[in-house]
Amino acid sequence: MTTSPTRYPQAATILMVDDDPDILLSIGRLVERNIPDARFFAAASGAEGLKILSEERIDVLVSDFRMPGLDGLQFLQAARKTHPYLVCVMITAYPNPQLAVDAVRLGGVIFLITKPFDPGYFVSLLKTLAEAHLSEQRI
Amino acid sequence: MSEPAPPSPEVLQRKLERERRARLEAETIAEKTTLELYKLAEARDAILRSAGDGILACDAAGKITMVNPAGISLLGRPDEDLLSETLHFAVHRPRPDASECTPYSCRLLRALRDSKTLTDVEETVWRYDGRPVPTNMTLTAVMQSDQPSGFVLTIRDVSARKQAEEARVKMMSQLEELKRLQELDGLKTNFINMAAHELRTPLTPIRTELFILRQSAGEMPADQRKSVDILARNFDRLARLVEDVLEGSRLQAGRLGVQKSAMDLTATVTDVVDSYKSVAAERAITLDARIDPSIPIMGDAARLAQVMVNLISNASKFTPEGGTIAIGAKRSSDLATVTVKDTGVGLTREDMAKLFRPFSQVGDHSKALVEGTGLGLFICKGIIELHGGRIWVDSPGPGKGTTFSFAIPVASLTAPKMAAPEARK
Repeated sequence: MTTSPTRYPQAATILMVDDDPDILLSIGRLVERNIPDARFFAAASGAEGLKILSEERIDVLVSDFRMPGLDGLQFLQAARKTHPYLVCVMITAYPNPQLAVDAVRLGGVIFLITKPFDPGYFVSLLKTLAEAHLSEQRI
Repeated sequence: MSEPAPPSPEVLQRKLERERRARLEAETIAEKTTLELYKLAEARDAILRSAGDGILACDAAGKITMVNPAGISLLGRPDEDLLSETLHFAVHRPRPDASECTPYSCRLLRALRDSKTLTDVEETVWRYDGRPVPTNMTLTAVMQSDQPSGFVLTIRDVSARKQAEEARVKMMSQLEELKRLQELDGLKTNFINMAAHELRTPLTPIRTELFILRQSAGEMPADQRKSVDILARNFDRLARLVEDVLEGSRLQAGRLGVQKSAMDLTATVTDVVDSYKSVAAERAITLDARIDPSIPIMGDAARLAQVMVNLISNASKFTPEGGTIAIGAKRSSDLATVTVKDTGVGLTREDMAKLFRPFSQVGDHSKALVEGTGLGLFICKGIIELHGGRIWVDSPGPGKGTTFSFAIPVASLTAPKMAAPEARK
């Protein structure tokens, strides 16, 4: 599903999927303070994430890898079936080379970030990705 | 009837001659037989003398009639002594542990009484001198006209076999123990690995919240700012500990990777030294760097920077204000050697011996190191060894400073030589 600039407001939308409620809460607060124009959506599971994706325009998708139910890769694969041009970032406490390869190849991940990541870096990455995505849509 | 005529003298003469010849022939045969019997007896004695096993013969009543040298040697008793003995008492001496083999419980005596054969009897024989000898015995009845005329006991000294068996059992048990320890070590490594990975998740919101707090630090009272600083400092320590534990666990499992490529060690060392200039200046520590202009090596720049950060960070922790940290990097014909020398607290010989072991803690005078993870130098050692080099420490003693050094091979800038035709063959 693609978005059109005439149909949607030009605020970046970020969806974060993680089964840890404190991470969702903290990253929500971080985005709220540092990217005030962005709309932040939080999902505690892959299924919940897919539901939000079906209802909202999402510019940047951030997903944890290890989650009960759908894991990060399965979730991203399912998400990209309906949203093939999603900008995807994966965060994990268990990085390994094979995961990196699978994340890029199967999940369309462009950044794989290890927890606990630097919040300053994370914010600037989200800003850059959201702006780039919005610019592409404008074109 | 008339009486028969007496034999003529010629006939008598012929008869006498036949009898004389027959007697001569019998005497020759007897001599020959005696000689053969003598030879057989000699051969039998030679066999008994050279037999490796102890052989004892006894009559039907169990009284010893013959014992070969190996038997005398094994039982440790003179033959004249043994020949006046019964089989049971010859073999079964009183035991030092008082576990007597009585005539009532003696298997040999029972077999003698029942005229039975005993094979593969494993028994410890107590020699005359009190020394135990593990043996394997066989008792065979000598049958004549379906009646036992005596018995033969062969005794084999199986000490060597027993020792080999014991050694094998001990080795198997050691192998089992090793396997168990390896499994435990694997479980421990997996547990540490899992725990460290799991700690990364709660560290994420802590770090994020600290970041948010620091963003609004300007609006906080001074004591709250101090609290945030303490929290941040301890977050850094905890995060470093988690990462060090993961690195150490990867190193122990042989999974710590280095990505080698052509690099200049000078640039790496210089970058790390530069990054410490402000820290050193704050503590009035002089950083004295003497680095060769170019040291090309095949290495992992990020990993070697990690080593340098660890060494300079340790040196800076140890060195009091006003001290000096001298960093040297030089190239010889085939080695690049880097040294980090401080004028800090120094080390004892005992501390130096255990410094590169995981979770090693050194004495009280090195408090700064105790506060670390105890894994930094272990990881440094692993990284340097993965580069084919070695790392070591020197210190004249407590209060006299410490020098850490590592040496790694210098990259060959020429193309690898082609193998000689003979070598290729």
